[in-house]
Order: sequence, then C-alpha cells, then structure tokens
Amino acid sequence: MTPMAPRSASRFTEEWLLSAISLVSEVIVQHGPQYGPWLDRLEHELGELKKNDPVARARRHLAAAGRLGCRTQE
Amino acid sequence: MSTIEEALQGSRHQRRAPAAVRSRRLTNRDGVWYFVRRRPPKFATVEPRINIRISTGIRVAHDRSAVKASRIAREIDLDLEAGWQFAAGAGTRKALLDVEEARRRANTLHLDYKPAEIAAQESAEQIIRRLDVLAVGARRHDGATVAAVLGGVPLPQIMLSGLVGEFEVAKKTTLARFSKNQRRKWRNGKLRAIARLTEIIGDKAIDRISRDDALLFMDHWAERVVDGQVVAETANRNLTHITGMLTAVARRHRLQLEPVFTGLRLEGEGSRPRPPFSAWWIVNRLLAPGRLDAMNAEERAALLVMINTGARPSEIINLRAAHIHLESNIPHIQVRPDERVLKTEFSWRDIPLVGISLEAMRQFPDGFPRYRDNGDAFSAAVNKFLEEHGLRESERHTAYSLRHGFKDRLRETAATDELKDELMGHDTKKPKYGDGHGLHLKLKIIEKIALAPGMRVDRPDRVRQEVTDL
Repeated sequence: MTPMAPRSASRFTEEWLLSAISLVSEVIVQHGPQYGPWLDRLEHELGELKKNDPVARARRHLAAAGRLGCRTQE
Repeated sequence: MSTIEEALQGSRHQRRAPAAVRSRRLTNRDGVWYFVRRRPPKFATVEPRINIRISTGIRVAHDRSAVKASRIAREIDLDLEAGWQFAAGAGTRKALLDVEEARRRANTLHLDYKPAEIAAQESAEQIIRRLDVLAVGARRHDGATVAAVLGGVPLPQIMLSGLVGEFEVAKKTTLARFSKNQRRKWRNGKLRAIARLTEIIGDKAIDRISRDDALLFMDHWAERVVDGQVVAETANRNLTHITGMLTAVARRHRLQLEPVFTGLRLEGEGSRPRPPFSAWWIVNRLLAPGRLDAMNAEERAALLVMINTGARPSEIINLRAAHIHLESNIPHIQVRPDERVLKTEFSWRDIPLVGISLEAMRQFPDGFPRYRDNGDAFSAAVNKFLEEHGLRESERHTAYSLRHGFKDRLRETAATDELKDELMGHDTKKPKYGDGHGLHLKLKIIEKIALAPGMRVDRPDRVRQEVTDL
C-alpha cells in the first residue's frame, strides 16, 4: 500500500482514500464481509470529495460543454 | 520507513497505553530494553531465526520499570505473530477471538475496540488513524489483528432475561458484602422489574430496546397509577431498577445504548411515609400492662429496644453479642455491618440503651438469632400482632413507625441537627468526619425522650378525637 497521510492528518485526501479503499477491499476479500461498513464509508467519502472538489466540478462542466479540449489548448 | 511506520514510531512514544504489567519478553542488553522471543516450533518453516531479538529503542536508564518498553514489546510481538501467520499461509484463519481479546489487541495498538459499524462512522481523524495502523507490515493478513482494529467481533448480545445475571457480575464486589437475605431482596426487586418489562415488550437484546418499547412500558405503569393500583413511586422504582442495570451492564461491556428511558419518570404521589407512633400511644397502649404479653419474647424485646433507640428493625435483629455492651459505663449497642451491609455508611453508630430498651436488651445479650438476617419475618410477625391486638395507632402504622416516633420526639429536643441525624443513622449526604458525638451527649438527649410504662404524656389531638369518637 502506498504511504498514507501522516498520523496527524484529520482530513481525507483522494490519494489516501484510494489507498484505504484498496486496503479495506483486500481485508474484505481475505477476512469476510463484516468489514463492509468500512468500504461503504470510504466510498462515500471519496464520492463526497469528488463531488465537492472545485477543479473536478469545473472539469465536469467544461466536459459537458464540450470545451475542455479547446480551453486546455488555450 | 514509510510515513505510516514513522507515524507509528512516533505514536509509540506519544500516546498513553493502558497501564499493564511488564512484558515477560523484555531483557536488558547493554542498557537497552530488547524484545526477546524463541521461535514457536510451528513457524520454523517461515522464521529462520531461532532466537529473535529486537531492540525496543528504549534505554533502561530512561524507563527503569519498563513501562514504555513493555508497550513496544507487545506491539512487536503482535506484528511478529501476524507476519508468521501470514507467511505460514494461515493469514485467513478465522478471527475466533472474543471481545475482551479484541480489546486487548486494540489497546496494544493504542486504539479503542469498536464494532465495525460504529468504528466506520467515526471522525476522519479516527478513520485515518485506524487504517494507518492496519497498513503496517503484515497486520492486514492477520484475522485477529484486523478484527481488533476494524471491529470484526460483534459485541455480546445481552437479552433482558439475562440482564439481572449480568448486573450481578457487574456488582459482585458490592454483593459480596450483602447477607444472604439482603442479596435475595436486592435480586428480587430487579427480577420483578425485568419480568414486567419482558411481559410488555418481550425478551429483547438490550441494545434493541427502542423508545417505543420504553413508552409502552411506562404507559402500562401510568395506567396502573391512574387506576389507583400503585403509586407513581412504585412505577419509578421499577424504572430505576431497569435503567440502573442497563447503565451498569452497558458500561461493563462498553455498549453504547440509546437513553430510551430518559424523561419517562411518572409524576404523582410518592410513597407515603409511615406515620409515627405518638408518645401517648406508645405509653398508654403498647406499654400498658399486659398488652405485649402474648408476643413472642424476641419480638417483644426487639420492639422495646426500638422504642428508645429509634434504630431500624433490621439493625436490632441483626445485633451480635460483640456489639451489645450491657456492662459498659453507658450501656449501648453498636450498629455495625455484621456479615451484611448497612443501609448507608451513616448507619454505623453507637446508641445508648436506657429504661425499657436496656431491660429488653439484657434479656437477649447475644441478640436475636431467630430473626437474624430475616427482617421481613420479624416485621410480618410484629405487624400481625399489632393488628390482631388493636395496637396500631392507624391502619398505616407499622413496627417501623416506632422509629418515626423516636424521630418526632428528637425534634422536640435541643439536639443539633447533626446529632439528630447521627442518632437516627441518616444519610446527610455530607462527608463524615471524626468519630461523631460521644455516648454521654447522646445519653443526655435520649434520657429526655425515653418512654416508660405509666409515665404522663399528652394525648395528641388526633388520638383524642378518635378516642372521643369511640
């Protein structure tokens, strides 16, 4: 697993969440579905993060408008 | 070393783990605490080292009692086990550990044990902390470690039918001081409360009791109160039994229970205090010649001791010879917890004996074996006698009313409130300092209020009216 956030981290980052989802998925496959709530929470947090990230939102808007390539070239 | 491991190394030094005994796997090597362990035979194929020695990094001079070093040693041990299990292909072994073991393992890793559905709802910081801990080494492959960190062991399910038993375990140190009869009475009240609750909502797991269940239970009691079958205090006492048990058992098992019974106490009439026997009634009825002759000698003596000591019936019938001082300068009894608990710590007191109470006690210098630890039988026998011989001042008077009568007479003296409380053995809710008032002072007060056959006392208006009505 790639290094996660330092111990003092109190906010999720996309990188950390992806690593954590990978860890928990491994745990569920190996040890059972009782750890499902962890995957639910991490997927939810990742969804929230993506939903609220202004850059991601801006990209979505541009993609929807078909202008992403044009703007990027500029 | 990865960021996570660095963080963990830091945490080893910064976080406080629960106090524990020194690890048996520590040794002092050149002034440094070392973890040492011999390879378990079953892992010979996966562990080349026969004797494993790992430095904890803690100097003995800095940690003479090995508190920090023990904490690190337990962590190293846990990681070694996890690594061996994984390497031996036993990584998927079922985490057959109980909650206590899961807690112990979680604590070793500086975490609290919480079941998955609760742990996964914690703050971002807590989530990050748990998963970072699990990401170290081969921990993720060890079912027991995963269960401890991520909450894979369900908390025990305690049914209402088992609640009293669980509560007894939670209160075992308190119960150890109870007499057999005290324990029986203590238990019965709680069993009755639970029986009533299960009659209404069924035998449920305690963490499945809902607010609706609680409302249903209290609706049942409210109806009984409205119908006049019970007073509100009876219902509230049942509620107290139940909430007390739920709180204690939840604490013991670290269960998070919703406070479903909060705010449901019924308002209404509390228990009606027993009326006091008036001095007139005691002198002219109870102590009138021949009125108690048909009474069993032990019952009569205990009743007479009550009159001028104001002691509780249970305190008198449980007196032992060692606490009855008839030859002392001031004859007195000592209320002490003899193989039973006293009602409160304030019950512990010495009471001088005078007049009829002294004479009665002289007849039973060893106490009252017939009724020892059987206060219910004593009260039932005495109350029956009083009833059958027309010696109750009203229908609501019982033997206990003698204690209330004593208190009433005390009120008329110049004794300080503190001395009155001490004589009665009342819980003042204040810290108890010193040895209390001496026997001389107590004797002076008791002599003023002691009653004796034939003495002149005013008839209270209430009794005067009833006698006129006859």
